[in-house]
Amino acid sequence: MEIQILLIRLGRELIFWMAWIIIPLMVEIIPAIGGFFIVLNKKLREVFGKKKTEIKYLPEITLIVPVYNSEDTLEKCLDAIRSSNYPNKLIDILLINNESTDNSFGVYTEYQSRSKDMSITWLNSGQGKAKALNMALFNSEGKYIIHIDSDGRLHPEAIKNIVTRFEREKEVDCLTGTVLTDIDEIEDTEGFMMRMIRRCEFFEYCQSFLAGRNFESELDSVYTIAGAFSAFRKSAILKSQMYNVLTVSEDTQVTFQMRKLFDKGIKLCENAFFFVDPIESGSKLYTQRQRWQRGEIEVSHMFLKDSLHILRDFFRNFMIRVLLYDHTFAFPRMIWYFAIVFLIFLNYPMYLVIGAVIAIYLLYVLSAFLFFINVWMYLASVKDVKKYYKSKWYLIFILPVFNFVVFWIRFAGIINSIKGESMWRTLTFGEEIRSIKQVIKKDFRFLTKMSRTIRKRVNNE
Amino acid sequence: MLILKIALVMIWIYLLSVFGRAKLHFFKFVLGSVCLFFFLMIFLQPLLLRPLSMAVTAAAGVLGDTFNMYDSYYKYFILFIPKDTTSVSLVIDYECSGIVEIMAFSSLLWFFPLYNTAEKLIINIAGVLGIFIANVLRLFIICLLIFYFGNEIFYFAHTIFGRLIFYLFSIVLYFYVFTRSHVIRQKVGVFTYGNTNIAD
Repeated sequence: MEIQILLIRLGRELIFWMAWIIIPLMVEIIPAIGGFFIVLNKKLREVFGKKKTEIKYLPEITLIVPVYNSEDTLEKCLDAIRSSNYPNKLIDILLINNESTDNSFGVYTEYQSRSKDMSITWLNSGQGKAKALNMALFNSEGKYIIHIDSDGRLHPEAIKNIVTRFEREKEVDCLTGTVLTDIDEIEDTEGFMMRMIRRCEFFEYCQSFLAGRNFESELDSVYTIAGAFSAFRKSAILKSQMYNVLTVSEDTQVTFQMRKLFDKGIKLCENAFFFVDPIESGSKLYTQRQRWQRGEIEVSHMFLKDSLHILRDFFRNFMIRVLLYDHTFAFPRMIWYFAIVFLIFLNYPMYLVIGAVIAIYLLYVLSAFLFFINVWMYLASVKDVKKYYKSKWYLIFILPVFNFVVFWIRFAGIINSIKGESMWRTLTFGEEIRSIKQVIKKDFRFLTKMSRTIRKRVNNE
Repeated sequence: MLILKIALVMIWIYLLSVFGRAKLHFFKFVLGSVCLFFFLMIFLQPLLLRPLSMAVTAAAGVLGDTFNMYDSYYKYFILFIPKDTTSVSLVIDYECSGIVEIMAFSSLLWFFPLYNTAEKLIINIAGVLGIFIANVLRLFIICLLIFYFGNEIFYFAHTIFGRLIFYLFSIVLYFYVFTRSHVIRQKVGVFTYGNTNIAD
């Protein structure tokens, strides 16, 4: 009898916890489980399906590299292209200078003079990455156009894997490469905290591409191609309005254009890797993530402002679900983070409140673990990265905390995009604190001045 | 104690003014809405709880009467559901009244920088009315489930199902008030690069 009572009590408490975790469960964990099986299914198809043969014909391609004060990274970037397994004579490289003020041009001339086997052209464009990319698109002649950032390095097989995918799948018009942060740079980081942030960022990139975009690609709902590494069929991109100069998120904007034009032609090329430097600092993370969030709202404004009906479009348009998750849920989430403290004052037993928080945390760990398996399956062609990734398994327990911090930064991006000026780089956290101090100092000076004036009047000085 | 409360409110208002003048919109939004939520819970909640619970009970009672399923004793905040030989009484406490949700929504709205004051007023009234109706429907559905499936379903109906319905309604409301309006009104134009030397 006692056991029965105990079980009933336990059951009721479980139901209570479920009520608390039902929303995170529905919006994050269930899609994560669904995504896990979709990616798993894709991998199983690849392993047990018909083996694909090598393509016989390799076309000429154009590789666009926007350059902005890249003297420190440009050589490494060009070296990586040179050591690619794609024949150099078939790669036409366009370096688009974006009003650099350093010696990038010097690096280019020096590199060109000693690399006679490569075709490298230097073009000058106005300020802005979108303008630079558009200029390059007009000047490109290859069958496929690949765009990479100048501060990263291509994996030797990346170009060939991209071209192979385009050649095999004629319905694909646009590919996003897999962008990961450089593991050597991460481990060379000074300071424990920064190193941990960079490791978390690496995990986040892995999950974002090899789990997130991987299942988005399977469902034909890639939200955005990577700004740092993406590729187009030239005949397709020239039908679009190309890169938009009005938004801070030109990569997402062009993705939306391509989807509007070609519907199902956007995919992830999961075996084409590009390595970028890890985030420079906490400040950079703060401004970068705010910009990404602003970009999402701007692009949604451009493409969705007339079709934002949750009840009608929830199942039809994945962007409604993206906005719901990134934007709508942020509001109740913020209030409930604080309200949970209030619950303790409202006679909720402490162990239930803490229990609910732990249960939610464990669910996030579960979702990180599922993504971990997905990512691990797709790192076979980059053995050193796979080994590194495996050795950092414990990050799945820290990732929910990192995501929690990123949630707040993105939420700042939402609110600041309403009234804040549209800037590529918003204020850093440190600059914001400084501006608070300035206002308080000004008030203090005003008060001191006032008290001095009053004292003078009272004392008839 | 009163002095402490007044001092807290004064500090809050001063910090809001500092954030406002420093043009830190996010800081102002978080501090404003979270503290307003706490102040409403401390100062206004004790005053509004009884009338709101009474109104919710009475409105849910109208539905109960209409479908002849349960009775409402709104003065005692009770919904009475007769089921065969037994009966179930549902007491409308602060959690069922929807007061926390009303205050959370209002706090967020008043510091959300998208709307002007007149718009906020209209949206607030409409939103509160919507939350009230959703809450009444939730109670009606809980009673409906108990009426047909008996007392055994109470815990599930109340803790999971009822809450889920209420959440779903709240999400639709939040989507229209915060997300849709923001996306529609978002300014997109030529942006500046700021003082950056990072091409990312």
